[in-house]
Amino acid sequence: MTPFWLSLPMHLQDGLTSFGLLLATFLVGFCLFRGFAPWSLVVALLKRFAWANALFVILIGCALGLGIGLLSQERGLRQGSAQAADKFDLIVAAPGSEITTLLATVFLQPTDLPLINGDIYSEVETHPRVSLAAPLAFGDSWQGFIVVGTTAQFLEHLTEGSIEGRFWLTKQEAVAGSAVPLEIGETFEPSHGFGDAAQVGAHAGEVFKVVGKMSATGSPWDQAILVPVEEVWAVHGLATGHAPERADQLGPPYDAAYFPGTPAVVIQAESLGSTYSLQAEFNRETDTMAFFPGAILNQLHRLMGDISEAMRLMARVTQILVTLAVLLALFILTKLFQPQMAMLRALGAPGRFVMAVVWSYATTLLAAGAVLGVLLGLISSAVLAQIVAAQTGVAIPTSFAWGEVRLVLGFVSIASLLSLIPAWATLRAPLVDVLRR
Amino acid sequence: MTLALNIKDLRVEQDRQELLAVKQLQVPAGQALGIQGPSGAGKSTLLFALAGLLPASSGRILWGETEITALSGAALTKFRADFIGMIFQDYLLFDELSAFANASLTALFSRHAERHAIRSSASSLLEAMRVPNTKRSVASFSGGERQRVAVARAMAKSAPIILADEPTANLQRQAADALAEDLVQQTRVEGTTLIVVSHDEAVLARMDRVVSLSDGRLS
Repeated sequence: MTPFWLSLPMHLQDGLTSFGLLLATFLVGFCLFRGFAPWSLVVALLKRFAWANALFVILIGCALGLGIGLLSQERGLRQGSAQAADKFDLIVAAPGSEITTLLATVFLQPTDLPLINGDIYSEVETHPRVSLAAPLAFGDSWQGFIVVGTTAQFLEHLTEGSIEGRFWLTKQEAVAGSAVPLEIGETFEPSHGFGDAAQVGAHAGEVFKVVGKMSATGSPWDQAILVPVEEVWAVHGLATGHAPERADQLGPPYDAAYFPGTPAVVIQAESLGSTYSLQAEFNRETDTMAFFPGAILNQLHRLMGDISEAMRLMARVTQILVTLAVLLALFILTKLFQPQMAMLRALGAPGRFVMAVVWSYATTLLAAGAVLGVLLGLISSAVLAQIVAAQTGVAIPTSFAWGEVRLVLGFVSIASLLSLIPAWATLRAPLVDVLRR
Repeated sequence: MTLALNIKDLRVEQDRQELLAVKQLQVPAGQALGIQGPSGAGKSTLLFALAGLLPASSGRILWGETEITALSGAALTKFRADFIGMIFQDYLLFDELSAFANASLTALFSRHAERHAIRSSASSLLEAMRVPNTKRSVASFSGGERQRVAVARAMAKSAPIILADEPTANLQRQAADALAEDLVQQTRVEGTTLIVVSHDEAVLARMDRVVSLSDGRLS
């Protein structure tokens, strides 16, 4: 890599690389086509073996679509998960697995977590560098949608105030995520637990009224129902976080003596520097751990990166195998129209013209397969994104990036250059033998 | 332009087996020569050798002043493109193309300056031979019509030599007679040297001269 190349903007580098991949194909095409007009014969060949050609294009399209879908999904998963963790600057929890805590808090995956007590919570909440500290309480669900107890302040932070309706004002009010099938004014009775283990009727008589609906955040929190944390504690027979004389209070400050414990505290610091100092301060081996969800995600992405590198390698091997299969299929297809090519040569067509016909035919199929591959890749990527979103709530952005452009152009370019071999082999066929058949 | 044929001591071998041995054969420019003989006698071998498609083991083939047995590769291809039109027993058309597109096929690889003349000539030949002037593909044409298209293709570039290999073998009697008539008539108009390999007595009867080939030798 020369310093000049590295100094170029990334998009320009990508654009030039893609152009370079195409250039070889254009040069071959220019050299073969110069002075000739073979297109009507190419169209004739495409029509003649329409079914074989269609199968050929579908084969290429599926192979490329798989690669494109893989690349697009891997990138989308990174972007989607990073976006989901965007509102979680710092998390303080009882010592344990950071990844498990991350999955439970950011991605709302039901997990049994140890709790931090009221004293520690107060220490966090009252820390001068903390601008927002929110306890989280899990344990209930409604029709498969998780119910999360927290504070209205955290809800405002999470939604950036973008909410239809209003925040809760009483203990029996709730705000539903954008993907929850509850509208403002509707009521629901939570079940204890999640999924198949959910106990319907365990909280009989405990009815929440939906007073607000969150805008879509692209995170699993779109599938959550948020309620005052005090009520979650109360329905489980725990203290509400406030002294009896302030039993109706919602939100901070909480009284350490009446704080039943929380698996995690989501923290927003006053500044970026404060976030780091808070992480250092609360990352104690004895009673708390503090971590940046973004940093843990990066570790996961690095791990995923190794896996995706292996998958990319497999995809490349697949591409090579497909290229070889394409080459073999081209040899077979060119055998089918050998009599016409022999006739052309007998009529005095230069070898370059015959090669132009065969090469254009092959490259047209490859290009059509590439277009189909892009379409299939985008469709499969969108379908996979929907499946992942339905299962995790993480919105996976689907896009067509330079990585996919290089994959497609690289394949077309290399396969197109290799198709010169069957084109050349057509010239080597024993002319008289073919004409005598 | 017309070209005479002069063969001297021609031998064609394949896998060290002699396929053809022609001591001498002269065909004046513009003459129609029929070659007859039993199957396997070497008729097609002679025709392919005359087109430069089969190399001579020894001897000479001269078309006019050009000794094609001394040519090879691109020079031989260019000679065929410039001077020889070929007609095949199985027509060898592009079934997906129209009669005109097939007849003017050689324009696709000819010099720009020649393309218009080839297309114009193809159109005239098709009209003269009563081939339907339609855009539909030749796949729906009768055998006789298809072979006429092949004749037009061979003659569209005004080649001074036409080599035809069993041009009526796949045609019914009436169509074969009509095709033979058209072929001879068109070559007479152009002054083309015509060499036809055929079993068909009706075709051979229209030739200026007929030679017989047996076991690769003229008799």
